[in-house]
Order: sequence, then structure tokens, then C-alpha cells
Amino acid sequence: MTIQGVLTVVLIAVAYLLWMINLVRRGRLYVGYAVIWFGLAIITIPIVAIPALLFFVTDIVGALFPVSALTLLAFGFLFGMQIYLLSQMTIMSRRIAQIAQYIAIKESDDTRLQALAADAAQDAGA
Amino acid sequence: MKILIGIPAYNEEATIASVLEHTRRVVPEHDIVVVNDGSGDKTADEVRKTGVRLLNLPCNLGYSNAINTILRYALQNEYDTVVFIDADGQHNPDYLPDFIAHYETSGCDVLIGSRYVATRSYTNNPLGRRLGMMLFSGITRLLLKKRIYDTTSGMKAIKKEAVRALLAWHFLDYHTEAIVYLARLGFSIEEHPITVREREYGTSMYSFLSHIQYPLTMLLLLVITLIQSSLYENRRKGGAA
Repeated sequence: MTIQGVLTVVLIAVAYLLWMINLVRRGRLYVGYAVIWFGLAIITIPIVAIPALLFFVTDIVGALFPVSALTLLAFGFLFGMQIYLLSQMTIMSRRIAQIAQYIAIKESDDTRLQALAADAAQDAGA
Repeated sequence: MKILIGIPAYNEEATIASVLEHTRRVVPEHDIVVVNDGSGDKTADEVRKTGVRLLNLPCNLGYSNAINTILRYALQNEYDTVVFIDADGQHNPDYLPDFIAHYETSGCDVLIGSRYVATRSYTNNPLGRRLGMMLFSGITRLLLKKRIYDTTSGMKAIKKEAVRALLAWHFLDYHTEAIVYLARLGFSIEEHPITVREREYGTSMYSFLSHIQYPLTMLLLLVITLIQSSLYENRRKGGAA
């Protein structure tokens, strides 16, 4: 890859990482997810920047061209991330359902207790 | 001084009742609250039997959310200080009177029950824990010009003003990053020596995978904590001006 290409990749990676840092700081991205992308950046940038490493990875993967190897690895990573994030969404959905059920039961109990208290007050008044 | 003893609990049915009875015996003048973090066992029932105030989360939200719940409860009920201990019996409640007395006389904002400040050494610990403690202790020395020997202790006393600062942001587990955050905001932090018992029942919240993931996550979070504490400080100074 040319120096211009490496610089482009590095600049894009740095921009994304800075964006993620700001999202974590503002509580809009869980830090555990950001660490995954930081880890990816730490692994990917040297592979892209060092030709010997890039060709080594290409041979390991069994691709003919470095760009094919990187594309295959990128797809593999993205599929894995999608499955992981979908599982996290499932866990969150379950928790939301549990909390909603808890609130419904609590409201019902509170209504019943208020009715009992009102009846008791009426009986005491009578 | 109105003090709240806060105990986060997850699947600690084997120990929670004895921890509560023991705590009530040694510090009867202080209120106690337990947050049951969606336990799958009988932790909540065991707490109810003791009559201690229970905050029952309907599902497992994690250690940091359990701590957050206690901090919110303390602030809403106007406690001057929150003292945290673990529900698994590792922290001997017999330490509490001395610990609280030291906290009151020292005047510090945060007092950490430290396993390592007396010996200044991490020997007799598994290798992973030793490396982790050395790493985070070294980081606190680098960032704060002061070494905190036990950055992951679950036993802490936190003053109301520091509680307010902690609730203004979000933390992974209120350990190293919270210490750095509060210190950077000017809160004083000290350590008080304690010894802990090894866990006999239940399971630790730290798995094998977390021994790899946790340091990386914490390092990133420390960088972000430094940025956030600087912004918070600038905002505070701007507001004061």
C-alpha cells in the first residue's frame, strides 16, 4: 500500500476512535464495546502499514491478494460483531421486559393497598 | 454524622444474613441498605428475614449499577457518608468501627479499606491479581503523584460531596477510574489498612476472560476519565467565575 493509502487508513481510524472516546465520555457508548474497536485498530494499523506483515497475513488466510485477505477478515469481524451485538440487544430487551413487568405488578399492588387504606379509613369514619 | 452502610449483593444467600447480623451488632447506630442485583438465589429472602432495608433490582444490572443505586439512595435520604462493604463476607464488619473512626478524624473525602497499604506489597496473591494491582497502583502514582495501593477494594467510605460528583458521570465499577476522577476533582483520598478473608461461597464477578479484558477496558476508561475530569473542572471554574 502507498504511504498515502496508509495515511488515509490511519486518519480514518483515528477519527473513528476519537468519536468513540467522546461517545463513551458522554455515556452513549459502553466502554467495553469501544475497547473491541480499539483492539481492532491496534491490530489492523500495523498490518496495513507494514508490507511484510500484510503479505504474511495474506498467506495465512490463503488469499491471492492482500486486499482480498483484508476484505475477508473484515467481513468475518463484522459478522462476529453483529452476532455479539444482537445478543446484547436480546439481553437488554429481556431486562426491559422484566422491569416493565415489575412496574406493572408494583402499580397494581400500590392501587390495591390504596383501596384497602381508603376502605379502612371509611370504616373508621363510619 | 449520618452514615449509611451500603452492601451490593448478587447471589450471596450463603453469607448475606451473617454479614448483616454482624454489621448490625458492631455498628448499631448506622443505617444499612442492601441492593439485591437481580439474584437468582434466595439473597432477597435472606435480607428480608433480617429486617434490613432492601432495594430489590428486578433484574441483574451489574456491580456498577448496584453501587449507583446505593449512591442515589444515600443522596436522596440525605446521608453525610456512604460506607461500602461486600456481601460475601470477605470484609470483616469488626473493622467498621475503627474504619469509620479513622474516616471521621482524618477529614478525608474518600477512605479506602486497603489490603496492601500496611505491607506495601502484593505477594501472597495470584499472579494475575498481583500484576493488575501493580499496574493500577502505578497508574495512580503517575496520574495523581500519589500511590493508592489498593485501587479495587470494595470497602470505601465516601463523603456526600464526592457522592454527588460520582453520580454526575458513569463508571465501570467505581474502582480505579472513580479514584482518579475524584482525586483530579480535588477530593482527598486516603487508605486504611484492613485484611480480607478469601471468598468461601458464591462466585467472583471477575471471570478468567475479564482478567484480560478488564485491564484494557480500564486503561481506556482512565484516558476518558482524565478528559472528563478536566472538562468537569473547567465547567465548575467557569460556573464559579
